[in-house]
Amino acid sequence: MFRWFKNKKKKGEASQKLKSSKDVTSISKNLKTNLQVIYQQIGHSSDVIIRSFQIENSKLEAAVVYIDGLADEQVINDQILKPVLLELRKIGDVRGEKALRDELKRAMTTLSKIKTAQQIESCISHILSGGTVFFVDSSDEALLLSTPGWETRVPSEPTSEPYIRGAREGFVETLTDNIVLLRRRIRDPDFTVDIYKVGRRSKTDIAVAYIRGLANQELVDEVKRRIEQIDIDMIQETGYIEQLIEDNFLSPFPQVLATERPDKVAGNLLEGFVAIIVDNTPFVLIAPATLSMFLQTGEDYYERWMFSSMLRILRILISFIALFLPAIYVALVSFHQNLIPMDLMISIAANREGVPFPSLVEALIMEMTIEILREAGLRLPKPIGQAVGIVGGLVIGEAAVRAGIVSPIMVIVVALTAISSFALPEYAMGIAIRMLRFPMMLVAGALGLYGIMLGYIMINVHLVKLKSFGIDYLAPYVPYRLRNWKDLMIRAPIKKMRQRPQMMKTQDPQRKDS
Amino acid sequence: MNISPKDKISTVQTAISVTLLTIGVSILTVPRAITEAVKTPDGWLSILIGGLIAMAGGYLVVSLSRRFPGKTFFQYNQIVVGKTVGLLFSILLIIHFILLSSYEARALSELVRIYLLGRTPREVIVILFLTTGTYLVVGGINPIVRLLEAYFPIIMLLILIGMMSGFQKFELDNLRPVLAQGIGPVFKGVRAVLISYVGYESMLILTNFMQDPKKAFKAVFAGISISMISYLLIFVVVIGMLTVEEVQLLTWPVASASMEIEVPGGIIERFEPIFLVLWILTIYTTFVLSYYFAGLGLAQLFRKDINPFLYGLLPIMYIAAMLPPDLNAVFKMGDLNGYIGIVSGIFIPLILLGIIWIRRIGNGQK
Repeated sequence: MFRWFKNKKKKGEASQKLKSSKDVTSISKNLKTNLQVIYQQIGHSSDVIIRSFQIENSKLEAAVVYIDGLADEQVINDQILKPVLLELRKIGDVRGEKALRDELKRAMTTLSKIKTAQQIESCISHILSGGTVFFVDSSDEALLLSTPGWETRVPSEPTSEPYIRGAREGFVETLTDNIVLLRRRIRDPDFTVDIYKVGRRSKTDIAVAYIRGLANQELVDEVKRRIEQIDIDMIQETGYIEQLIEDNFLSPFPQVLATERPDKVAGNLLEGFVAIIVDNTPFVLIAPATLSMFLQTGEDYYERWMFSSMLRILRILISFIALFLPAIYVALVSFHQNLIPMDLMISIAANREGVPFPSLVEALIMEMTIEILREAGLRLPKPIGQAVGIVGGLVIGEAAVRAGIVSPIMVIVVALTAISSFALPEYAMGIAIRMLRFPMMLVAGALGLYGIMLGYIMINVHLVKLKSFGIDYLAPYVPYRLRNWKDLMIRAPIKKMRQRPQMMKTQDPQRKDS
Repeated sequence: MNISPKDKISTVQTAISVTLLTIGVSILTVPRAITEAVKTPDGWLSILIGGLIAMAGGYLVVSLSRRFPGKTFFQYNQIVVGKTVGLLFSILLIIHFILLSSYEARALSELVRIYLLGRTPREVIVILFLTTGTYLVVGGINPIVRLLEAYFPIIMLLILIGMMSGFQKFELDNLRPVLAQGIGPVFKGVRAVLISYVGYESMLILTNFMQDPKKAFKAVFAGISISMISYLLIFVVVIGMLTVEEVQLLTWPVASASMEIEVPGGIIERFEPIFLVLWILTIYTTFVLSYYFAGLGLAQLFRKDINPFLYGLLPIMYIAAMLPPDLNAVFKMGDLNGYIGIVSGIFIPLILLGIIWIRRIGNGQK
């Protein structure tokens, strides 16, 4: 965590640097002064607890400082105060500052982590992150004791990405637990985690995880550089980081992948990606991200390859349906009736007989309704949400048709589109497609299939221009990396996948021999 | 991090650029253009011979460009022939690319009006198409070639599927007899075919955009071969489905041939609008490349930033696209532009190489 102070050269943190260099106060040899300084800075809050006591034999004043609830009081009593008060008495008089510190440390060996600090600021930040600080009179060093006492959630099945086959544990809200979840999967000595503190006031812990000697060093440095440049007062969620480090904030497409699944992150780390873990959120970012990653799931690798390949092709079809189907319907009905088979055309025309609106308005009404229903179902408590779904289904399915506002075929189109956008594995990509559907419908209403084609070209142009951390968004499809096409539209047998993705330019491109 | 180098394109991308610049609108008209000249079913021989001539032209163009590493035609021609003549050559090539992009845009608007949107004004179709192109070209050569790469498999698949479904109406007899009137008519067709091969002259510029200019020969030969195979396939299938007599009379023979295709199961009533909608992708690729080259030429002539020129070209291309009053004039413009292409793809390189050979200047080893 002291990295923060080391990286003072970086211009992005100029303001941070100013703040920290101005405020640095060394710990004085006088306990009273130290407590005074601490009290001035954080003592105004009533949950800050300062307990002073005397170490028996040496007659030295000592104090522990912690925050009620954030630090575990039982640990403080049993593993800090009790040994110090009881054991030091047996040893007798301890002379010299260093000897005393060693004795103290020895007495508290049952604690997991003990560090020393020379500055008040590091003491305070330690206290604020759930630790306990131990001050002794006549010593200009304080002991930083790790006594986390807050409640953590037990890993449970990720609600945003349930797999039929796959681990039932997802990330939790605690940074260290999340790192553990990854370490349990990758017992590689090269697995590296660098921790940063981001947020002027929130001081959120952010971990950058990668495999040293495998991930492209340029990529790792770039991710770190972007994180170091973040200047904001609070980080709430990975969404903050994502939006602060992405390449193009004007794009509707997500350029960093967020996931709740440790197995997915572990798999990507071994392909040379970098993971960004943020404290207080169960979502972990994977950078860089390409379009194909949003059309794949981790489960593709767990099921047998033929089925997974079929699913991947299906997903490409699904994304086209979700993006274009209403637009194509509008174009066909209003411009290109001659493309529809005669019998179908007659029945569509008969159905649209009583509908007072042009097909574009009809499509817009229905798509808006679906979006409203979806939002309502999501925001309401679960039981009510389901009721909304049923009511909405009835309204869309029956009443609107009977009332002659929309045609039945439009209901089919909208339903198929909505189901398709639900079927996309990544929510972020689903949002992008849902959004782009509306401009597509508008151009289809104005220019028919020609308009759809121009819209499609515009989206493609945007995609070929888009990059995520210097990697083409359409990689490995474009530029061609034929060797990696094995894991693109199909998922080749695992036995046949010998290389890591070429686009990642890993330092160890071979996954296995032969 | 900048993993991919700026303004450098791979060999595959170069070959794809040559192919996609060559086909485009011309592949839709090539069966008619040839049969009009040959009048026998032997046009496929003209395509082969024309392809070989185009490859010779490609050889000239690349061996010329390889002598000036890192420079495009617009930059090195003045070294060889001096300021005035070099300027003329550059302007000729720029006009060629402007006309090519305008031709593609105008031909597209004609197609769209016939098969998709009968009542939409031509002006709207052209303007929207041009601005969609601007959105891409201001990004530079790299996004352009990446988009071409992305579309290339789709386009090839489209040609293959179209041709394969064409075989349901295919009659081999339509292609017979072979060389009934001797080899004479075949050579008449070569002139018409050469116009359709125009596109490889882009290597005057592309060669020195390549990461590995040594492979430029490979790229241009591969590019021309793919266009040649596509032309052959289209020609054989279209003549086999219709007849030589019929094809001569059709404005858009390929579209007319695809009208004959019946989609199994009758899920689509007519096939040719679908084919043409997807063919917009191909026309777009040809258009953006020539648009970019025209802008690049101007930027390098004036030694300024390229983007103002790209925006400035919009009205010029629009006017050029709207100039021909009717479809016949559009095709005349295409033919004229084809001849300019032959001049800049064969004669200018020959002249420059001759001067270089006499004056012994410029070489690739520098």
